[in-house]
Amino acid sequence: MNQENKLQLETVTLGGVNLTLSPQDKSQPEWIGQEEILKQLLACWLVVAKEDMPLSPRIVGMPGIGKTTLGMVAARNRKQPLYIFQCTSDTRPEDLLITPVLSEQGKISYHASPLVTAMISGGICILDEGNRMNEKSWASLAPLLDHRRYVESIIAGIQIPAHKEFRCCVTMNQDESTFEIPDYILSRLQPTLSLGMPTEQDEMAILKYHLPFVRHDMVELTVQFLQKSHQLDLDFSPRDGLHILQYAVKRLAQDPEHPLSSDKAWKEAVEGILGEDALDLDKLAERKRRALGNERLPMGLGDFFFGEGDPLHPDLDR
Amino acid sequence: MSELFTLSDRIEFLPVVHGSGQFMRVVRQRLLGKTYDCLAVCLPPEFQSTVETGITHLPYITASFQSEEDGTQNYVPIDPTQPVIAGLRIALQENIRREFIDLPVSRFEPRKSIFPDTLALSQLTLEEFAVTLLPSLKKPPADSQQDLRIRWMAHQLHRLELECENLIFICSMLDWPWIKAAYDSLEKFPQPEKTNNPDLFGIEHSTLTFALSELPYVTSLYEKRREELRSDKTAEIDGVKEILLRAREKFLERHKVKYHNLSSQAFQVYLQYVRNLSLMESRLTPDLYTLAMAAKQVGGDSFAIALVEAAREYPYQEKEEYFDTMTLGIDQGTFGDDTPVNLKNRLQETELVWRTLDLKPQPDWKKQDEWKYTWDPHGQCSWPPEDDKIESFNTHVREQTKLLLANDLARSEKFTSSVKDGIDIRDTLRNWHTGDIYVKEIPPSRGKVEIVLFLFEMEPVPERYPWRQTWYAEHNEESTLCFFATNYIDNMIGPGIGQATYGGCMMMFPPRPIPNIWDDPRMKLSETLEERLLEAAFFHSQERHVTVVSPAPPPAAWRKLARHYHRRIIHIPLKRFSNQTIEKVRQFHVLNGKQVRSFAQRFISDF
Repeated sequence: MNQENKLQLETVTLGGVNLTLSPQDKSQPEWIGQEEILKQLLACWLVVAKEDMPLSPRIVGMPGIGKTTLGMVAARNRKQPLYIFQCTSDTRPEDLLITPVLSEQGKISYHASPLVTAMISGGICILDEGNRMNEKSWASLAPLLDHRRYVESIIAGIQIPAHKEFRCCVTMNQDESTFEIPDYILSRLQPTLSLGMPTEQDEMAILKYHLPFVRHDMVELTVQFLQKSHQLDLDFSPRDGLHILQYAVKRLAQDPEHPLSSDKAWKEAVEGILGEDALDLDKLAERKRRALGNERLPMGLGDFFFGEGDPLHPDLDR
Repeated sequence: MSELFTLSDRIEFLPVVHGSGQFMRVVRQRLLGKTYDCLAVCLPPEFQSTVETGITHLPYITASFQSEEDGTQNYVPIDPTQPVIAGLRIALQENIRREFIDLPVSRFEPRKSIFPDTLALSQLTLEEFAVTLLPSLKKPPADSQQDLRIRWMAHQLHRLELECENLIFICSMLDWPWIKAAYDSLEKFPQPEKTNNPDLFGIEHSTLTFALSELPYVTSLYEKRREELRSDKTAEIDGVKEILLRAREKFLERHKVKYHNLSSQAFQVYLQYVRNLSLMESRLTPDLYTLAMAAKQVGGDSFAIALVEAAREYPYQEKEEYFDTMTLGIDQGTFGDDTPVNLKNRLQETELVWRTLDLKPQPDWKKQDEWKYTWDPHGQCSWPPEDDKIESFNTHVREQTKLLLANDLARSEKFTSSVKDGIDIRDTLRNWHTGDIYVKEIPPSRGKVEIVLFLFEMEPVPERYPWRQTWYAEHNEESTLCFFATNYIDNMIGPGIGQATYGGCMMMFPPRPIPNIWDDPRMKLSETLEERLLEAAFFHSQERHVTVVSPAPPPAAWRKLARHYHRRIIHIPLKRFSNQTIEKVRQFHVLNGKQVRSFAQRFISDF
């Protein structure tokens, strides 16, 4: 057994029960742009006094824009061990806490979930895609998310208090969920940090970071395409951009004898990844322009103080 | 007063950070705590007349503007929480001599510096605060405007010393050690330059935020407490809490929602989060951006809008005053026309940054009328994210109904060979004396649920819900929808976007076309809106069970109606679902054509 496997099988004894802990997430993601939301997440986890409690925020946004990455980077920023629990519609309360496993000797051993491991070791847990999980599973977390900060495992018959450094956050996709999360859980998952689409500059940096080997003009073309789709409120994310470029590059490299033009390969990739309609953004933009007429879209906080076309408007350049 | 601020046996310093309510309180305490025969301030003499006139009109906010050669205006905001203005206000009230001793300059050079949060002054003395800052105060370069002004003010203090017994001088925290040095070393003083006389203008109510050092609501709180002779020691922090309560009031008034999540628990999270955000930015008090952003994240867009509106409330500005008004922006302003003029605030030395936030303010009535007028009666469609939301809710209710139906059929039997759906502990215990084990069997539910009916009020007022429709599905994953709701035309929120609230709705899945239930002559038994919806559900349902989600159990009349059509009501209480979900589902938007979908998100705010 190598060193890494030994670490994964770390155990602790709690209330007379021997628990096998889950392994940490060791990936080292990079966060590009949108510093504000990273600061907001760290603010949620800030504790200023012994009696103070950390907040457990929900991170919402379209799929593929980096919600989990945000949580991972924030955990690294705090230099705490990170654990990720992937929630699904059939996640049961015991999956969330402690699972009995039949060992080789025919005995039952108890395995702590990533969440409970984070609670014991003072780490950070990301409950990924939390809104996929049913009400019953959420209910088992209610005491953990308020001032009590513990969970009770029926299976192991123990109460597990959270380490004072334990923090957590929940990511949620903005698409339709299988289950409605009840009020008493939602009120514990506050605030809601909404992750928006990146700016042109950030999007360029993200694509270049992940695909440094792709030609600049193709990255630029993809960024322009994505930015236009963001303006039209379409659900294309940087992850889609990565897939388009990866596919286009693979298509180009497929047959060196009869090279495909990069433009053609890119269009084929867009069509293959996002569907035929995606190629017609111009038509969509034109329809939007016609429907809006001369109307200006609301821009934000500045609109509260200055009317349309006011030269003093601080957001006019947005 | 300690020796630190004593310039001579006749002169005392009172260094301040401009634009701070905490320093305003210190100025007031020091001025009223001892007898002075003269108050000197760091403003040039030509401002005396207009500034003092403005002070007599407080709490109405004005500003004194002096034009410079290139058209730029430098100005003094007559803001009651400005320490200099508060000092002059007390001197006027106590009949103390006032002297404006800054150097008149033809082109004023503003300074920007980074100060610690002045809320720290509530726990520190002025001396401790000033000493902490002392190492970071840089000596102005020789012959710079700041240096010239300092030397002139030192000279003026020498002059006043000959006439006054007890003088107190309010100056900027950035200047006081250097004025002291210039006074002690009798440095040469410059000659004043020729300047224009300032004019007094009122400030447009909506842009008061840019004139005042505190939020307009907090400033009004200071003035209110002054009128009521109450302590304003905690006004800055109380102000944030009062804004929060006022915002909730405004939110409920506007949206008339029955269920909301703005509980005291939510406010506790909000305040904790706001505190943390402020600390992350090395501040002790939040700014408007932080307050609004946290409100958006805790209470949703609509609550954040209500909060911004509450924060900028300043009732004293609404009364008529005999001043021309001007609109103030960030370092710019307009005086009655659309030409922006560059502005320099003489009493603002703290570095400020404008940060914007995506919020959708309420459109004014003129815009709403315009949008109403341009509505094309032939185009009407839904907003897909709301369709998804209600469909998802519908699926959830359908699943719940199936569970209820299955539970009805559950039965227990003695354990023989199979544990079936688990051991029935209740029956096993009940028959403990026999020693038998009982197991539960939950058979799959019989029948399906085709129609789900939501009634958000038990006895809806027909006048409130004049809009009654039957909408057909756009695709196979969507239900046929019949509903009664408020009229969307009465609440236009954007070009081609109307907002309505369901009173009740009926969803049929899988979808199939049915005649408009509101005109269907076959519905004869119903007399009220909710009964018409129920009757249509019973009439069209191909299944025996019809799910009814309502705040109270179905009354006898509904059951009678169900019996007539040989249907059975499966009741699910509305309270079973999250209040937030219910409000989200109830509010919906009508778009004037599919093309509006491409920009509707920019006008529709989240709950």
